[in-house]
Amino acid sequence: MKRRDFVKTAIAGSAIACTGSIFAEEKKSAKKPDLVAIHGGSAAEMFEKGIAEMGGMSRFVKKGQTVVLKPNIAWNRTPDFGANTDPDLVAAVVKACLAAGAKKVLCFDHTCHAADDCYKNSGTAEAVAKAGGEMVSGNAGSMFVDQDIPKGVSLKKAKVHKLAVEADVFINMPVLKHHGGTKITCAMKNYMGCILDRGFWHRNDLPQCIADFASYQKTSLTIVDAYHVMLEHGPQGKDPKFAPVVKYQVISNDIVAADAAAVQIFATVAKQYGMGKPYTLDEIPYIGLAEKLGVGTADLGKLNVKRISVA
Amino acid sequence: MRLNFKKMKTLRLFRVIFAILFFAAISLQFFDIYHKLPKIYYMYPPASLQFMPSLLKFLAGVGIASAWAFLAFSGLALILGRAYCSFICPYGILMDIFRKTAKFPAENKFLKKTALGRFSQKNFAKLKYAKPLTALRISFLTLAMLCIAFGFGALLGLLDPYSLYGKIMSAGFIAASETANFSAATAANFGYYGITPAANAAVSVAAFGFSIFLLVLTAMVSAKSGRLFCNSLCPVGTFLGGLSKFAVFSLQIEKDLCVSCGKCERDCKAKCINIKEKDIDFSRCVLCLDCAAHCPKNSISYKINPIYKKIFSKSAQKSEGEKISRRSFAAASASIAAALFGCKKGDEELAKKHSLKVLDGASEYQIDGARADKRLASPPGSISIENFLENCTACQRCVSSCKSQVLKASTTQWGLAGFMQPYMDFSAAFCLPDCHNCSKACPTGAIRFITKKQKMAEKIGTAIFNRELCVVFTDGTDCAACAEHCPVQAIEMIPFNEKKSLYIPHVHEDVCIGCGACENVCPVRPHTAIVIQGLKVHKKAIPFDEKMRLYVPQEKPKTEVSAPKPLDNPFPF
Repeated sequence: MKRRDFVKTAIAGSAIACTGSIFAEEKKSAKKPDLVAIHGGSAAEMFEKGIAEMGGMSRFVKKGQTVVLKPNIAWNRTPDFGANTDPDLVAAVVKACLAAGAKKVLCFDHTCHAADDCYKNSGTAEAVAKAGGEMVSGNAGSMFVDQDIPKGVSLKKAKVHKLAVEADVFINMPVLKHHGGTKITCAMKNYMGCILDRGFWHRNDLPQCIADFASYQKTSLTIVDAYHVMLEHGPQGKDPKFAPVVKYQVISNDIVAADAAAVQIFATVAKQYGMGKPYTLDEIPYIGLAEKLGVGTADLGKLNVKRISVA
Repeated sequence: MRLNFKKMKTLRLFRVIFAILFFAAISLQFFDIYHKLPKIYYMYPPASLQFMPSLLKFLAGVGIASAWAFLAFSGLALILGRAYCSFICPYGILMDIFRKTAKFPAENKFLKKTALGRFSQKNFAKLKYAKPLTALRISFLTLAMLCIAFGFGALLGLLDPYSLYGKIMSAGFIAASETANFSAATAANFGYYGITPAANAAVSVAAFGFSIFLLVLTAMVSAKSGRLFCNSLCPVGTFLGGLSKFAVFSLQIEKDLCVSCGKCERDCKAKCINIKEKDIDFSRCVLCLDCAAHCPKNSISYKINPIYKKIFSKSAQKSEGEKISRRSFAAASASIAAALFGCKKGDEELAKKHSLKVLDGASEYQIDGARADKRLASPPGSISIENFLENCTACQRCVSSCKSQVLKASTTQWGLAGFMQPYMDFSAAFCLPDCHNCSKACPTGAIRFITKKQKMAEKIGTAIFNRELCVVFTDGTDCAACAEHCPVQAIEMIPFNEKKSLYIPHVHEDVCIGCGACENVCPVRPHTAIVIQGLKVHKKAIPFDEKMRLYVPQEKPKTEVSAPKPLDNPFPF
């Protein structure tokens, strides 16, 4: 009897506590933007301005949590190619997470070239280590665990990197660039570095698989690096001259919105430089497919969007 | 003239220390799973001191500057005997390690009385003089010379001690990689990510099994019979032994001092001391110096070779002249060669359904059950498949240096005659654009040194794209895995449909270097839509030029705009 009473009160109590905290959260974030687009500074500088506008890193990272960053480090390329996420930006995010009280900040990617080359020559390994984060191998098969993708249309099961599964806070840090297959690669496409068997995606409707995985992977924050934007010869890059310095960044808690904003930035830059193709949103099928799965919205008009120009 | 006892003891100690250090140094290359060995290791690789590899490298025309070791050790054999065998030969040193380990319980004062000690005493402690196996030795030396003459590198690699050692150590490389991966995975389960996993080792089961077999066989034979291999099968041992018959100085027993206690004969791992005759067969002596250092009567030492005391007679040095026509000669003359050279058949069903393109100069080596237009390629730096197969003794050094582990010991991919010669397995990995490790590692001249830049321009094969197999064609979905991995922009994505919403690969064949990235990542099964067709003789690739594009997304301004106009409002949304 006593036990039952106890359970009842406990449930009631926790329910009250939960609703209370939800209301509190809503109230707080009501005024805070869903998406911040920044233009004009260095990658780290833009991030600092942008995350402050989003409500600070403490809005996403709580004390004692393990934060996992997923930048794009897929290629053995130096930062000026725009093939990998800017290492200074990754370092700035590591620092911000630690300052917000994160227990540890881990960083990985399932690379396409040899992992040690990619980590080293992209500058990411050094930047992350200096900032106090830790690099983790994303290539060893033993690090991947089987996961179900309940909402998946094409992709129903996948071997996912354990960091992506176990993270308290997962921050997606793509780089915006051209891609021979999906035309543009950015936030959702960056998740191909979380899984083991990419070939399955390529042979089973790539855009659908990208959208399917986005419906599974919990993402606290998406930070799009568009400091360099590779307009042609993506995603590996041929020469830095195809990746002009355009100084953009997008920060959002909606991965689909981040991709939608990125596509529009890409088109603007492509027109401006006369390179690559200024794609429209409906030319990038995975954005629409993800929207259909309820991952987020591509209609930026529905969101609270802030634009910041850094002089 | 003779060296005194103390000097012989010091010399033996020097031999032991030198051998251990040298063995450790040369073995490093097989445990370098993270490919972190410093540049200097590749500039002065211990493997360059190896006899047979340096001979092959010299005969392959690399030049005497990088292939002098065989001359140096032949010269040394004419002065001091087979110093190579105990100081430099890693296979010999490995046998010494096995023998020492087997003997250890019998000699250790704590283990002596135990069952293990008695077992060791009974089986391993004592050796006996054996008669020379001259006929066998000469026939294996002849076989080795025929292998060199006709370019049977892999067969030579089953006789050459360095290559046998390499085959054994390749199992060590696999074991080290697997251990690293296992520890990394275990540590990760406890939230520790400090251990870096190695690239998954390219294991071919038959080759790995053979390595283990060699290891066990070598351990057993050397524990029981010491340097039996060196004085029966080893062509290097026989050749240097022949020379050391005429060495200026040789180890001899001072007949007046010797009391025939037999210690030297029991200890002689080469089984070349006949205590009854008080004679050392110096042509079989591997120069371990144990006898001289341990002789209680100090009766063994270096002295002027008696034959020079009589007369300075003609030295019947064996010379291995330049061969005329090598592998090709054998291939043409012998029909057995057909079996040895491997006549694999590709998937015939597929060949019937699709017209498969085979370019001029394509390699003839197919893989069972694979697309018939897929052909094996030899690694960059090897000039041609012929040069590669003639000079490779399958020592596995390149395999352990290979960063992506695309190089793998073959079983029958190169035919039976190429057993364990490495091939590039693009189904497992691809040749990384920023790596030229194998060209730095190869000691025999099968793969010559090339810079990273030269490697990116050396065309070892051509990507052959079959449109009808491509997922863009069959399923109408995006892919471009091949194009995104191509390091030289040889694959261009061109519009597939009117709407230009789908793009399909097009291969610029002259630009392609044959690295295999496209084949490796192509998702189509069972046959990939794009395969590498190796070239018989490597070519120079043409670098991609923007003018080669079939599809230009935007008309570019005729004159280069230095800086684009800044936008009034940078935000498009």
